[in-house]
Amino acid sequence: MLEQNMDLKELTRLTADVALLLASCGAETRLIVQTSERVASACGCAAVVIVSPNMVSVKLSLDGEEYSSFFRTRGIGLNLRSLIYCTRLCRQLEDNKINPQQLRHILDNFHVWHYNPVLVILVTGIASFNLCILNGGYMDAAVTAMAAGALTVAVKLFLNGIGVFHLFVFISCGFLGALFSSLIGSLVFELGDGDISIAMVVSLLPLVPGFPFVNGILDLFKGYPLMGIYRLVTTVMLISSVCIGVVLSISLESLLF
Amino acid sequence: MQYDDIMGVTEAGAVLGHVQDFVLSAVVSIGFAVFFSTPVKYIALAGLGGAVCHLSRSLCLAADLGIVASSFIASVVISMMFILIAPRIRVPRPVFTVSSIVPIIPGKYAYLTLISLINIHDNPQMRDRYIVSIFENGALTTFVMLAIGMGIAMPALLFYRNRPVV
Repeated sequence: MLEQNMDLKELTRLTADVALLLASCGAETRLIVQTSERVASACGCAAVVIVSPNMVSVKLSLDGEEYSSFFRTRGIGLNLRSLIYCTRLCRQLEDNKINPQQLRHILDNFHVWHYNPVLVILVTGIASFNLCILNGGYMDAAVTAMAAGALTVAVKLFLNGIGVFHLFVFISCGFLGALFSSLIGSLVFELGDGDISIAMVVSLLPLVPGFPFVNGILDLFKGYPLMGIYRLVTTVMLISSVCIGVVLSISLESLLF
Repeated sequence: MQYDDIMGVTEAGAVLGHVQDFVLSAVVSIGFAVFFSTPVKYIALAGLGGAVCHLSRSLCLAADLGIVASSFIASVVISMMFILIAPRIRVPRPVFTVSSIVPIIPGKYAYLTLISLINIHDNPQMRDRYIVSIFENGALTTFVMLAIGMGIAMPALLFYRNRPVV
């Protein structure tokens, strides 16, 4: 049943906003398509949602009347809380706990939630410390990894916060992460090359694009080859950016020391 | 008798090592779950996933399965674990699986490939050695990453053919 206060155009926009929100916070393509089509279905319309790398296309139909539109995707970065929240809204709409107008209101007032940056930096530093020991590093190497990993994440959060282009963020973080671990390891703890390399690898792990990679493989397997290839190419580009940063750092070190 | 004692001590050491790795990898996954803005109430599950993933790979490596096969099996274990858990709590599986695989990402091999690529020009006398290193470590990194990705993706295809993701 089409809601009395929302016409087909508004419902198309509502369906697209759910798809855009999911696309921008790191959902796999099947989840985006299924969730947004379920939102439309809960509003009584049949929907076709197509997701491509830069665009979401939505076609809604009801009683022979059709409306279709295209929407450009926008990036808010990876955010799993937003992803879970959005899928939950879809289920609430299906269960009639909220109506489309309420969903519209929630989406209009939606704010992306993040942990406190200091907490993220601290926890990532501790994770780097543990990962270094897990990879066979000694205590000095682990402390180096913790400091370098925390500093790398701090730089990443800062650059993301001021809206720097994401490939540049990865080059900068790769450069600074490798430089931090090398400088802290050699100047503070006087580590050997092996320990420094473990600390360096670990401190750069927050830059590994795990989500684009896993989502890319999932998309390829689940019948969305265009999105899958796009995500895997993004993964390769991000890893290459980190590599460029590390190469710059190593070149600078060999020039200075 | 002495042999049994030694074996007992060795086995106890191995078990303790696995317990230590279990805890460390849980902390690693928790850290990355926070980094990915996972809600607080799901962070413990992400940590458990990372611990199980690393433990599975360690046990497979101890059984001489090789790192590619071990990483694949560990990823399949994680994927199956969250295929069972995630629908019950109605949360998409990648929320847990991506944080869980962090402890088994082959960072060391990727680094060795990169270092060999850099040195191949800076150190022409050792070029043959670096070419071998690039192929060995590069292939290993690629295959382990593919094994992880496919290990995460494949079990879901068996269980979620036409069902909703959440």
